[in-house]
Amino acid sequence: MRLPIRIIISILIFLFASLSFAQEYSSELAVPNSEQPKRLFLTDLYLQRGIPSGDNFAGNGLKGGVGYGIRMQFYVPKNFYLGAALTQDFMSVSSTAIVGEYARTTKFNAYFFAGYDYRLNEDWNITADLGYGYSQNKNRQSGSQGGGKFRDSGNVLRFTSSLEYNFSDGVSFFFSPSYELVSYNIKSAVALNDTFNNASYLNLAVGMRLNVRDYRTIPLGKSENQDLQELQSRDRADLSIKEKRRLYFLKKKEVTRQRKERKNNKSLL
Amino acid sequence: MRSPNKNVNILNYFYATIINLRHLSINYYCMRKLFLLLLPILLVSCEARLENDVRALFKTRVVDVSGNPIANMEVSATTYRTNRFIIGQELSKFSPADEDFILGKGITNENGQVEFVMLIDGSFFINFNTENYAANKISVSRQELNDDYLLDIPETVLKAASNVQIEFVNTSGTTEEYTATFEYESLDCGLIYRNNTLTQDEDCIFYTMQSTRFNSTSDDGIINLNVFYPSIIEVQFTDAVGNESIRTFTITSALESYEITY
Repeated sequence: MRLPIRIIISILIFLFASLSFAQEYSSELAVPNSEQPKRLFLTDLYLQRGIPSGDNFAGNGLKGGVGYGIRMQFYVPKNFYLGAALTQDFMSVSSTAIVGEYARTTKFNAYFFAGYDYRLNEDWNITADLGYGYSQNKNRQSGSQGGGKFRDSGNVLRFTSSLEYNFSDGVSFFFSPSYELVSYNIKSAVALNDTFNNASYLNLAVGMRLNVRDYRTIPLGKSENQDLQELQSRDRADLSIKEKRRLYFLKKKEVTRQRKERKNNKSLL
Repeated sequence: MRSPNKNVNILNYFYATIINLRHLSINYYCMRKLFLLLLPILLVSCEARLENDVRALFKTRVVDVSGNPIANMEVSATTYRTNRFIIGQELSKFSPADEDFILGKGITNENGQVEFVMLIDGSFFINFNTENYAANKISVSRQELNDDYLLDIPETVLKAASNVQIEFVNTSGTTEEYTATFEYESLDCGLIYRNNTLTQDEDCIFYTMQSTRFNSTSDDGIINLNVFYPSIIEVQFTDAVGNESIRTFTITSALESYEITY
């Protein structure tokens, strides 16, 4: 298994382990997300399976493999978001007669995107975005072919959707199908133009979403302690780092307390 | 009580240890610097690159000298050519090993037609990978692909290989040493595709065999030549006083032998 994939898997396992403990804690609090704080920023880490498709050199001559990616996005008003992403996919050549005499390729994408985040219910979100950027296939021959390297570069237009399950305010898991259309800058004989001008890829990804939320937007009712009110009443610029941290966690605690209260009320009814 | 000599020895030992440690740290420092210097060189120097963002198309129809299509034959494009001279085995050469690339390959159909997608890395050779026709090589320069990235050779006529033995037989009993030269279509000379035309490489140094001496010993009169056929071999031999004789042989099969008496 390749080193980057091993690193990604290790990170995911580590995060999953952390999440398991977090789950234990939040289940104790029984948090429904009806008043989930608004997202400010998030980072996606995911593994994906790239599937070359269509009647082109990738669809007919490449075989998909496992890849990975990272996306970062920040939120603008009304649940719209903007972001940037990097992906890398490892593919092998299934037909040298179609793609040319090489054995494997690593597809790299770097693109910007804009999209919309829609909250289905307390636990589920769906997102959809459209991205555009740079794409490059780094191709490599096998030893018997000579071990040469070369690249095919172009521009990628990528539509990405995701179905997300919120485990806690901070962490969620998602499944993300995406479709990308790459227009390559490959100079070729006229008879090969249709084959090498464009290629399309379908990607199926699973990953982890790490959220940074805005707890300041959550209104506080009767405070459970005076600290919170006192800290809130003071000018934020005057707070020390320690006090800011305390304020953040008190707000978070207050939110979960309110949710727990609502859930109990529901169950009584 | 410790003697003064013993104290001096301990001091010397201590001093030597410090010096050694200092050397070690200098060595470590130098090694680290060397490693940092070598790292980018190692990362950059291993790149064996082909041309980026290009695919060419090669197509031809392969026939024998009678015009019959040659079917099911592998045709390949490489940056190197192979030769069987020296030890009679295929040697991959005429380019450094790290620039030896297979650029593309295909199989001829029943009409002898073949076409394949080709990568590009400067000038290249078209090879015909069957035993009978393996010696046929076409040399193509990068310019021939032009901007249309198409190499279309309408028809490639391949000649088979023949082993010809020529024996000089001394019937006159002369003891004079003779000199002979041979003009023939050597297997080590390829074809050249230039300006949309396929021609023989007239400048090939193997076209004319360098002069050979015979009749200096009793068994130096047998010469073996690897040639394409059908073709003509012209033998020119000269005696010690300058009398010149010429013989011409037409080669039409894979194994032929001739005698020249003098």
